[in-house]
Amino acid sequence: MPLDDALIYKRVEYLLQQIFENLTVIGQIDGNEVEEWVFDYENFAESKRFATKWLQLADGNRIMLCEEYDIEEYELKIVRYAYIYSDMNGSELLRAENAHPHNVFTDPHHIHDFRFGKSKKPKPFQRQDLDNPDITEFFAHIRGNRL
Amino acid sequence: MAGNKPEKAPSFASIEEASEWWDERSGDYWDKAKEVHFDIQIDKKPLHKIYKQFQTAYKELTGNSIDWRDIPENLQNSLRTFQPLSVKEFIKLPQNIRMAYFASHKSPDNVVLNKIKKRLAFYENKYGITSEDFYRKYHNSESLYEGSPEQVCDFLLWHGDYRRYLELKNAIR
Repeated sequence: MPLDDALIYKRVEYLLQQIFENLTVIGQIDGNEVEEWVFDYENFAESKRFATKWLQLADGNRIMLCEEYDIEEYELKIVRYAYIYSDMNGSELLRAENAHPHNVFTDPHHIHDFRFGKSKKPKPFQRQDLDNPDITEFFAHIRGNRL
Repeated sequence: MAGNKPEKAPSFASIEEASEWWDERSGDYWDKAKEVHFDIQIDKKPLHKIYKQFQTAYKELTGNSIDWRDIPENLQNSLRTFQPLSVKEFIKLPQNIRMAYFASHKSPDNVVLNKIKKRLAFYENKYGITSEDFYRKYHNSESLYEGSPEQVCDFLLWHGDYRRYLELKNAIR
C-alpha cells in the first residue's frame, strides 16, 4: 500500500472508531430517508478525504464530519476540516472548522457554539500548538464538557 | 384452463409479463412446444477482478495469500454483489482484511479524475456556477455553511472534489 493511502487509511480508521465510541449512529441521511451508512471507498480512498455526509444520531440530532488531506514530508496533514453538529431540523448547534475569515487569536482552529444564542463569535478549538484538529475535543463539546 | 386456452400464446411487452403468463399456464402448451437448446454465459470477470485486487492488496500488506474461504461471509457478499459493506461491518473486520479492502478499492488516477469530473459537473449543473468560481467564492469563507443542510453537505464535498481535481490534473500532466 503506498504511503499516502496507508496514512489516509489510518486516519479514516481512527475517525470511524472515534465515531462509534462517542456517538450512536442510526444511519446516513439521504433526502428524507435514513439509510444504512455504507463504506464509501470513492470518498475515503480516492478523493483523499473523509466525509460522512449527514448522519442521524439516536438522540435525533445530526452530525457531519469532513476532512481533506495532503501528505507533506511523509506525514498526513489535515488541510481543511469541518465538523458540524445540528438539531433534528438541521439548525447548527456546534461547528468546528479551519476556514480563515476570523482574524482572532483562535484562527485557524475555532468552534462556533450556537446552542445558547446566535452569537457568531468563535471559541478556541484545539490546542494551538498542533496543526491538526482533535476530533475528541469536538465530541467533548457535544457532551458539554468544554463549555 | 385447457378449455378456454387461446390457440397461440400472445406476444408480450416484457420478460416479466411473459414469465407471469407462462407461470399461470404451465403445461397447457406442451403439445405445441419445440425442444430448444441454449447456452447461458455468466460473466465472472467483475468478481474475479475485484477479488484479485483484494488478494493482491492483502498479499502486499501481509506477505501472505488469502483464500476465498478465509474471507468473512459479509465481505464475500460485498465482493460478489458490488454492494459496499456498511461502516459498522467494515470496522469489525480483522485489521489486515480491512486494510486490503480499503486498498483494493482504489482506482488508477485517470479513472478517479474522470469520476471526479462527473461529480463536479453534477454540482455545477445543480448550483449554476462553475467549480472554479465556486472554489474562489467559498474557499475560506463561512458563507459555505449558510445554506440548507443539503447545500452545506454538497458544498463541503464539492470543495474537496475540486481540490482533488486540481491535484490529479497536475499529477497527470
